[in-house]
Amino acid sequence: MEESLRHRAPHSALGRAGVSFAQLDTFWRKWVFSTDHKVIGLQYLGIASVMGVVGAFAAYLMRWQLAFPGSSAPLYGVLDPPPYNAWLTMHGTIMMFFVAMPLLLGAFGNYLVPLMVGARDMAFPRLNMVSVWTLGLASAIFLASFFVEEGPAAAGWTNYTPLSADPAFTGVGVGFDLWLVAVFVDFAAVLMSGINVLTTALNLRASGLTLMRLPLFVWTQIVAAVLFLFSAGPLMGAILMLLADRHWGTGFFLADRGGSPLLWQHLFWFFGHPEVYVILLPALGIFLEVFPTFARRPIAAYGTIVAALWASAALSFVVWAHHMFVSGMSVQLALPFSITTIIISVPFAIVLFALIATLRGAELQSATPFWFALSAVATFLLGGVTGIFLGSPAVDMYLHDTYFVVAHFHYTLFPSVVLGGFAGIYYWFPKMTGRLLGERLGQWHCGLTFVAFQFVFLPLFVAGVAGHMRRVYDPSYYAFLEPLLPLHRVATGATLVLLAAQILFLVNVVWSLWRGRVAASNPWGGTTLEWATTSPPPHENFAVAPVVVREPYLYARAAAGRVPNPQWSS
Amino acid sequence: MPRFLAEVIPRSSWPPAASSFAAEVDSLFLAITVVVGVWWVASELALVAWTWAALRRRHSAVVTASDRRREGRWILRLAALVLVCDLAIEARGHGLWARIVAPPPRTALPIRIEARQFAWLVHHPGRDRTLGTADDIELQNELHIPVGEPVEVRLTSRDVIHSFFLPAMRVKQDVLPGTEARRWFVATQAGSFPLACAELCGFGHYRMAGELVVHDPASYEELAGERTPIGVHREGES
Ligand code: HEM
Ligand SMILES: [Cu+2]
Ligand SMILES: [Cu+2]
Repeated sequence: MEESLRHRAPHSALGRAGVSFAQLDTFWRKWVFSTDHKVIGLQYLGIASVMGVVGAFAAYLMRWQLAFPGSSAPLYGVLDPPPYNAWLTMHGTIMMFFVAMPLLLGAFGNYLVPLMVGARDMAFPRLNMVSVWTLGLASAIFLASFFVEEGPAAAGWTNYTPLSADPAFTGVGVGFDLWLVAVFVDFAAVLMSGINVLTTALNLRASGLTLMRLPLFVWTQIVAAVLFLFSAGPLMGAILMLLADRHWGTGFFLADRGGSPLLWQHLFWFFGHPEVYVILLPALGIFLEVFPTFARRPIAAYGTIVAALWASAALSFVVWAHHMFVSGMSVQLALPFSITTIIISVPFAIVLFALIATLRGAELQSATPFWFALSAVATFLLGGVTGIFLGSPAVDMYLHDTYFVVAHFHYTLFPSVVLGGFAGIYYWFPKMTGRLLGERLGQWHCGLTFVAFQFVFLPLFVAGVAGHMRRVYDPSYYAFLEPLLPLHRVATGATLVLLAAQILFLVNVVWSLWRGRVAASNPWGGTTLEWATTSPPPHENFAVAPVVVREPYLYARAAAGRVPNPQWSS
Repeated sequence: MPRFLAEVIPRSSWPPAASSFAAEVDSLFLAITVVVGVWWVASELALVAWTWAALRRRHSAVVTASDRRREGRWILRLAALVLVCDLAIEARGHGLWARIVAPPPRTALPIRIEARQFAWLVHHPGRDRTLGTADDIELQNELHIPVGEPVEVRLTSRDVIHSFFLPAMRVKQDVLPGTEARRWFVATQAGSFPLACAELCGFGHYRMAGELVVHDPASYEELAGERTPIGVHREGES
């Protein structure tokens, strides 16, 4: 850690007073129409953060309504049934398509993949700029649906037909079209950026950086990009078909026009399950970087992990019907899908065991990124094992569409997107800005977020086992759900704590940008190439092209503890 | 503490296991809980214990390539054990699923249910046990069945997808427009149980509630003997 402080202050055009035209011009070029992957990565981070605030507000509104049905929510007022369904749909869609993907693929993928492979930029820098702008357009279209006449889409993030196919069923018209167009455009953006990441990781690797020396984060980005390339098509096609059903008289999904309502579910989940891994794998990639750095030892079983990532990706294409055991599809089909679903736990078990084993014989450096990654793994374990229940059709028949499912997927998505996202931000913030985030605030932020989260969703497992259906506006309508109200109250109280805890993060960011400790090029003692260059890296990343001489995550014994034995030759 | 728990987790109010396979579903749930619970607890313990140990370790030897090979072998062994557990769960669950979705006995009492935004229209067969005859009884949001007899519900939807959910029977079946889904079960306990919609079907989804009344044989005969619909006819509440 005591490395020479070869740093540069973060260059900020915003900080200067008295902006001239020339400066304004540079501002545009540098921060808006930039082809630099690092700026684009930060733009993705900006989009994900803005959308994340909307998604969190939606979560707050739903939680308020569930704990205090019919009462006025502070900052909003009384939530009626139609807006409940709309906020529910917005929350799910925003979190999946406008927070998780932009953050884990867009922000981290763009910022880190070129650095980690020792490239000057992405393979196609202009395409990269087009991708982020396309995502900006998609977000704008999506947000616009809040302001149209009948409000936004309200059929859940899964958008099942025929509910979503005819305005008569929901009272929402244009909102659905905007949802469909926005998601389509969003996917186009992610496809473009996936091609870029893939090409960069495969073709622009520094000399000596063989595939089996790649940082595991890069592997997860490669697998996620391939998964998305293969799975997005069916849903993009389905979106066009649904638009046609809505406006041009076709009947792909409408029974009374000879179509099949179930077809949408097949197409949606053929995409949807791989999509879950598109989000999950890069998060695992973050843990796989953070663990060895702070444990000061190599990751256990590198090659096995790479194989497991590919195995989980391949399997993820043959599990989709586990979302449909009670949908009315052939009941005989449940058996093969149940087997593949339960077996997909094996590759994930391998990755998780490898993470856990990496702490064995470690010499731990306590720091916020590590605590976030550790909390995420600890949380994710419960999300993983609860999936086994849902893979068993007889049990799923009872638990399907209950709060058990809601708790299960939040236990996988929250550690991936939120805890994993924060692990990544705390870890690479010094690289991105040249400043370190404060440790004390960081550890409080981590502890509160982790503990509060457990109190939000542990009670909901219990509610689910008690038969509580999901997506119900007012549980008190059912006598048998009334006794579960205390669980909802606990969950809502914890949500308020969880959201309030994020203020610590905001304070930390603002304070650190202004007054934070200046970061050296390798403040944590990492071994991968992003730490070989200054913090933040210059335009085109490396003063001299790096040469890779060994695998990542190696540490050597030294008098003062273990020291990194970095990938690059210095 | 126990009293607090009892208040927060009101076990007694949970849906009873009131169908022929409900208890089996619950015991499969418990079996899975035990198996995955062991893995979960062991993993969390390893995570915490090694973190704890690593926090206080200083100036230890570095991890060598042969250490890592040994760890790799252990990871694969454990993964194989996970696979064995998976297959055991699968094997245990498969027979139950096969029985649940097997064709119903020929004597099963047929009941036709049409779902629509936001109500259940239940068409009972009446005393002659056949649908489409003069003594049929149509009720809204009320499903009457005899205890101890196989009952087959035939579900269709007039508009969107709904999901027919009887928590106490551990029965759930999506209801699609344009197709008829069938599900059968045997209620083992007389009484009144909730009927709910489990699939988001529009703004009134949360109040698409109904009631399942399981009668003992005598009271079912009596009910089926009446020609006019009995019970509260909840038209207009949707
Ligand atoms: C503070 C954290 C969060 C809270 C309190 C929260 C709360 C909720 C609530 C109350 C629901 C609706 C339950 C229902 O009515 O059925 C929901 C649904 C959902 N949430 Fe979250 N959530 C949080 C974070 C996240 C994150 C990080 C993600 C994903 C990255 C996510 C993805 C979803 C999805 C996909 C749905 C399903 C929406 C649907 O049913 O259409 N949530 N969440
Ligand atoms: Cu899935
Ligand atoms: Cu419904």
